[in-house]
Amino acid sequence: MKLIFIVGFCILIGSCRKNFFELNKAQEPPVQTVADINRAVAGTYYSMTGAAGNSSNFDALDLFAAAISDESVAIPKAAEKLEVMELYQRQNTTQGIVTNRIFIPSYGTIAATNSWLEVIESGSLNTLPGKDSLPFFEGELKFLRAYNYWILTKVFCPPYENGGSNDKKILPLRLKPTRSLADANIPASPTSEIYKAIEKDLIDAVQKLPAVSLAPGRTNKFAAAALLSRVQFQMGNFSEAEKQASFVIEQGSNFNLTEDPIVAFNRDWSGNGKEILWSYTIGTTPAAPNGLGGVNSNWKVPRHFSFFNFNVASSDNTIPGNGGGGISANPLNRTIAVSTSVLKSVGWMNTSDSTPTQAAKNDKRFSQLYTYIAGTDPKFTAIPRRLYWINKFYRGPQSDYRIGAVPLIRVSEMYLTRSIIRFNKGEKAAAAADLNVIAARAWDAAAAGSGFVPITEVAITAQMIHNERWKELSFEADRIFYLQALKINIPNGDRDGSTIPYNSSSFYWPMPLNEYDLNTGL
Amino acid sequence: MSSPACKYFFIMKLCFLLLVVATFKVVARGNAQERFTLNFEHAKADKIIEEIQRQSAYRFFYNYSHILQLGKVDLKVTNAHLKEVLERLFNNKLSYRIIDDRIIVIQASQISATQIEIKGKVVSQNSEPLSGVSIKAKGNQTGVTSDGNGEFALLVEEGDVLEITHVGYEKQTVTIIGKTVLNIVLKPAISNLSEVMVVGYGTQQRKNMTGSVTTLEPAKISTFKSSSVDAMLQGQGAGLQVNQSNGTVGAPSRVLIRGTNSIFAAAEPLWVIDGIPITLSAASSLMATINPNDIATISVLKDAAATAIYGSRGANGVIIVTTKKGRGNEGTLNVDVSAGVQSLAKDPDEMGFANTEQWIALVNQARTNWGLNVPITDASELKLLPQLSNIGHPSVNQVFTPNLIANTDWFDQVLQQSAYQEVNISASRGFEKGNIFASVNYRKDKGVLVNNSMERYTGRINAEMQPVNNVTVGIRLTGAYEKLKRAQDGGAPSGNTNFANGGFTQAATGSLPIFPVYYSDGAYFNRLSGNNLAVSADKNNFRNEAEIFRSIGGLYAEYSFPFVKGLRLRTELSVDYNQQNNLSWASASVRPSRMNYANLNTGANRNLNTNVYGTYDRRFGINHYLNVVAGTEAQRLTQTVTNQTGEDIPGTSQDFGVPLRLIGNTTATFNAGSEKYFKSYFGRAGYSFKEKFLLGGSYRRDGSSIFTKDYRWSSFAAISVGYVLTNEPFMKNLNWLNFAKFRASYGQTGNESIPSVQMDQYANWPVYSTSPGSLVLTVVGAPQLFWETTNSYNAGIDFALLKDRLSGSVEYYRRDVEDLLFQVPIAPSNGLQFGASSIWANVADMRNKGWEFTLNSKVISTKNFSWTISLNITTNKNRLVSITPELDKKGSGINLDKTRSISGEALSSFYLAHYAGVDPQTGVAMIYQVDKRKYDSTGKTVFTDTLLPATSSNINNNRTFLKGKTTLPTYFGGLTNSVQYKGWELLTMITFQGGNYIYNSAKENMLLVGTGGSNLSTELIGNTWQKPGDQALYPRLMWRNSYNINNTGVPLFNTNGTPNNNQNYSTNGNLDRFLEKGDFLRLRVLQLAYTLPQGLTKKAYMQTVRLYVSANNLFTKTEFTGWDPEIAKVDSDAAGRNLTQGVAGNSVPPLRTFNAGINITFK
Repeated sequence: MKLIFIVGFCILIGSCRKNFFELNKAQEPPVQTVADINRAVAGTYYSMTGAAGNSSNFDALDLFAAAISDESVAIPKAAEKLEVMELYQRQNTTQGIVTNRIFIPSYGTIAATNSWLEVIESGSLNTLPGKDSLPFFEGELKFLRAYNYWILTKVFCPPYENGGSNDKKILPLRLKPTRSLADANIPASPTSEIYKAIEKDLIDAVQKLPAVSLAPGRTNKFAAAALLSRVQFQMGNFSEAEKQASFVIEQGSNFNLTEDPIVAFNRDWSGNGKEILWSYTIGTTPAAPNGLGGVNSNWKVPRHFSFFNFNVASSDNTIPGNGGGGISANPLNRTIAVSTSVLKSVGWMNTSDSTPTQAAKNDKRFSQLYTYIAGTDPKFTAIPRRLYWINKFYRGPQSDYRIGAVPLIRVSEMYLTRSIIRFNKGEKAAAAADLNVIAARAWDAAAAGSGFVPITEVAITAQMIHNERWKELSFEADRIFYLQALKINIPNGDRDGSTIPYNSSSFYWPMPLNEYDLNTGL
Repeated sequence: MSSPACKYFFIMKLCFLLLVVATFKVVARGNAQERFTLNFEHAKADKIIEEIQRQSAYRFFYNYSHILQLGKVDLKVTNAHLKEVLERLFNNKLSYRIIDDRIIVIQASQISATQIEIKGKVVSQNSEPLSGVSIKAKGNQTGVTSDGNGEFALLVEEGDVLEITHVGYEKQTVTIIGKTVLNIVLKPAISNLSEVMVVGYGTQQRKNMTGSVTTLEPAKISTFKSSSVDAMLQGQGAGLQVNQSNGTVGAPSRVLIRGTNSIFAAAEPLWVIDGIPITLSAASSLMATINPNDIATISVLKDAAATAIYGSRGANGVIIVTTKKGRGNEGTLNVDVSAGVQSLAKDPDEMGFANTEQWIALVNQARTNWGLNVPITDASELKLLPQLSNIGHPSVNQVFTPNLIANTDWFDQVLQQSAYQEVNISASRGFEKGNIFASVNYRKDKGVLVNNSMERYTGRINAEMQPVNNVTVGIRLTGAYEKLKRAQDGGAPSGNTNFANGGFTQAATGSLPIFPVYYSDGAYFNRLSGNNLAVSADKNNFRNEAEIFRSIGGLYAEYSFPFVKGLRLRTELSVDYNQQNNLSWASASVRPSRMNYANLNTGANRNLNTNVYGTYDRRFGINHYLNVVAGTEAQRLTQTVTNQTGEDIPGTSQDFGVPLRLIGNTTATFNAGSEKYFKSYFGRAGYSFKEKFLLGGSYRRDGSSIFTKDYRWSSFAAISVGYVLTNEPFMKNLNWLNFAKFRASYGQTGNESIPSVQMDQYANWPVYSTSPGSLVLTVVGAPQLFWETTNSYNAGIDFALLKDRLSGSVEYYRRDVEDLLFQVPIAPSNGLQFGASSIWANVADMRNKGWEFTLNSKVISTKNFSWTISLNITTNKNRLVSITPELDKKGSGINLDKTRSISGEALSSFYLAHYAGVDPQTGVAMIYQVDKRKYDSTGKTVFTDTLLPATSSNINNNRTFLKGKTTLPTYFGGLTNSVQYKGWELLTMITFQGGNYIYNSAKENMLLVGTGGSNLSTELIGNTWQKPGDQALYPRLMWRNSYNINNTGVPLFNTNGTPNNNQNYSTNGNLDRFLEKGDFLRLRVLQLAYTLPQGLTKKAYMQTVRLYVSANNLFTKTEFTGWDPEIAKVDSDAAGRNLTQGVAGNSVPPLRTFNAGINITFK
């Protein structure tokens, strides 16, 4: 009896769970609905700004491209101890500070695209409500993967040589999520393979993406086509680049150059200028007031713009006058100005006294997106000459300098790409027509006192297209890659010395040392 | 119970129980009618006795030498009465008496008409039965020994003096006058060889132990006065390494057993309190909720033979705490009142902080050297402005105004006279069929930091009864409430809350002597800076409190099978529930541009443990002893955490506002918490032959929800052997050696103390565009993870010499940890940018080995005077055998803070640049350049002939692995001396530790002027470089810590104040000049106690009255120049605790305590 009692007691206190180890709150897969994958795709965009301050890749790419090209000049002393100097001096044998910041969020974004593409490709969402949006999300993810690989090739690989082997193995090509140590350690792929993957993703993206972005800051069919055009242009596939550019210009009727240049850059998070094919949204929404870069967030600001943009980001927007950036916000970070050599070569600076030319004053881009300091910059009294600064960024609403839509692909690039391709093919009239679309939009009739005079097919030269392109896309990670695509040697800018071969190894950087240390597959 | 699953489980359990029974071959052939069927031919008499005992409830008590007289016996009976059986067995050579169920065997010649029958029981002080105890009349060579239940019976003459002796216990004598029942409690002798030790799921006698177990004496550990048991353990036993994290009230200690056995998983031992395994993170101070006075025993299980029965959680050792129960037939009431005062063991003055005059002189010297030929006179240079709190106070610059200039000792603002009071009342009583113990405790601590205090109330009831024969049921209930007020010290627990910090660390760093406490108008000076510690110490400005509720309840029942002698079945149900409410609040007056802030973080932990196990404990004849334990256990651990934050709260309530009032912008987050489930099957067997050859084995099969289904279950086993040399006949005449036992063990244990990483984990991040938040990957799932496995080897000798005057043990241990749970760093191209860029894997191997020495000596032992010494020393040598192929290949190892861990070397070795002194020509601190080419090709550090300036980048590029200089102590121990004269007792305990190195970060920060933001050391005065040719101890003082390294003649700064062409010295440098030896020797306890003569106390109905005064941490001998060499990291992150414990900043050092108390026992 007592034994029965004690045995009964034992059993009573025992567990009666069907599966003892089953958790009450078991971890669930993060994506189970179409709404979940929508969030996941949003997170993928978000990955481009990295995990901490000073870690966005798109602004770091702009800094990289500007600093190594001839369009910039490092301010003596001020820039000396900063990370831009290794770029400006093209010291790519050392460990890159800026380039590491590009590497990490780019691969971070790629990893995210791989994860979510795997979910979509598994078909687990195919029968759920909202499934019709799945191709859009797939297109977005492939676009983002291609965009980030494109960034990586620009910074870490030699320029693509059309007809060449392009077999240099530098970057690991990751198209599947890392699930194990074996996945984590993979060898580098030939550059040609990376480009092929980019092309493939973009072709898919163009097919699957909607014509209109699902939300501000998200991509669309025409942005994908424009990026494909850009990549084909880099690869020397000019006819394909022209085809895609034409597709954007002709089919993308929502995108045009009817607004002033400043309109593309002074938007808040909620909308784009009409020329914007894709912008990176740094903003806030009523539904989520503490959102990305929102008023209560003091990080994730694309601070690399501060190195070369006249308006700079402030770390403390509580100080009166700092909202909306402006010169009061730690201007000593601003260390890369516009080079006098390019200003002079495009005809914006008088060679005699370094003042702006009348042509500059007649150009809305100069008046709206550049800052010229008539005397010496009060913040840089050690520099005894006038400085020209780009002023395209932090131009959003003054209530909060961090809110804004940062243009990453604009339709004007398509006109200029098509213009040079057509010019090089001998189609000068068509080239001039495209060029005139750009130049006419920029013409300030009031300042000039006269209307715009189109460039004729007789007058047009390749240099005119190069110059117009620089004026339009300066400091937007274009100049050096444009020259490389056309195999034009890179001028030395304000540095001493002569031009450097377009494919010089001075223009691409080693991967982070960590990658070499930890990736045993390399 | 109705579901099929429940039925299934019921059947499973029933089967298990039957299995247990079957295992022990229980066949109930005997009965109470004493009829026996025996069939022996030429058998030893003890074999026949054994069989009779097996067939009945009778127990024999005899002297083995008498039984030998019977020789080999033939005995064949069928269904015979007991009497017939005994007479045929003894064949007139021996006689016997039957007393109840006891048969006393005696020589026929010894029978006398005047003999009386005595029966009784011998127990230890812990009421555990003692078997094998010799009981005999003085002057008589014959006697009996107690059985497995401690019981005995024998015949004596009235007036005989019984001698009760047992190895390891003090001899006791009892005069037989009018007694027939004796209950004898033996006191342990100094050697403790026969003490009963609490081990996993039961007890074992030390003499039979083959595993490594240290039992701590509660009375001894409580001489160190602390609110928390863990802090009391330092120096108390071999293998036990205890370091207190800091001197604040309620600060946790870090306890390790035999070194650091893991890297990324927790290395702390498993605590088992009254049978319930407690999950204690090192960061938790939950042990403070256990009343130390309630503790009866603490057993420290160290080798696999002892810990393998805890399987997957035994790798780091196990500490078993058992609370008291009532004993004896008389009740006792104990009242203990104590109080003490406390202060820092090291006074801030001893750290050498410069006063105002010295500070300004040093700063101006740095400014002049830098080229700023202007003395510091402007408060704005110290970043006092602009701040809203200073607006309207024109006297900001009074910090540099002669006559107004302050010379503030900021430690005065944060330190206070610390004190504590404690009252403990306990009552216990044993009854014929039960016992009860009850206690209440109140303790109040006023911390050494202003606003730091703790109040604790605990209550306990432990009750046990035998409602019917053979069944014992018991309950253990304790409840605790603790209110802890924390001092403001460097930030709120909930992270960045945008308010000015303060506290002890600031007093040592950013609060300068030149700052006044108040403006001349009486307002707080610079209140938003965090440097005005009077602001942070003001109760109106900060509140940081925790309320902890904890209850541990256990219910158990034990059934002794009447028909299978020695077989017991026990089941336990235990619950540990604790809830912590952490409230932090800051007023608008310390928040730049914000209103009040409040945060409430509530965590609840539930721990439910059930077990069922059977014990078979039986002596067979005189030669064989068997102890078998088998059972099953299930544990469920769940945790929930909720967090509320209120921003910009109006009003003065130091909370989330008051009812009917706006409460600002309040957000609440709910953390789903965590769950962890264990299920186990375990068994242990110990066999002793002639108490000479010992054999032990244990096995546990564990399943844990931490791992995925395929990797969930694992088995752990251990085997051990022992040989008691002194039980050999040829050793009997060796008088000087009383006991010598050799033992050795091997076994496996596991470690699973990691977060669950079965699947990829994601975090919800802020929105991109208009979507409702984003998902980002933070952890790559590792579904193939399994336990770390530790292979433990242990060999030792226990000994007692010179009539137990000298006893102890020497042990060698080795722990090879394989398949260490490791966060393998992965290349950045894997894109894990939002979490740790790593994948969990079982990859690394590590080894800890060392020696343990324990020595107990009763130097002098007379009636009125005694002197005992106890010494324990442990050595530990750690070696990381391998990490990952990736890290091994590159030789880069694991780098964390200032340490590097590489294969082949000790874990957590320092990785610093090698200081080369001050360059006599330039006054710049120099370091040795590392030959990078050599390092890259061979992994070996070789210095070139070049010295480099100690700039941040040079330091970081020329760090070297400092072989043998690790954060891990290589030896530690304790020495206790107790001198007793009549009622007086003087006790001293010295603890020591060393072999490790400590980076003196506090000192480093005091040597850098920077931009005048921190306190400076008086050591700089007269010791800095002044002119070329100086052989200076410290480099030339420079503003901004900037030097014109290239010495090119370029002005040191440009018009913007930006330094040109020169480089900063790192304020967080990694220079080996700040590396100091961590060895220390500490007088941890000095206690003088006086027990009043019993003749005096009995008149007041008191059994004992003991008065004592004591001091803790009275003296420390060390070469370390920082606050204190006893440091412990108690981060929540295991890797941080295991790898970076050797960096000492400005945390509150241990306290020096003076105590006085009285302990009265009423009987």
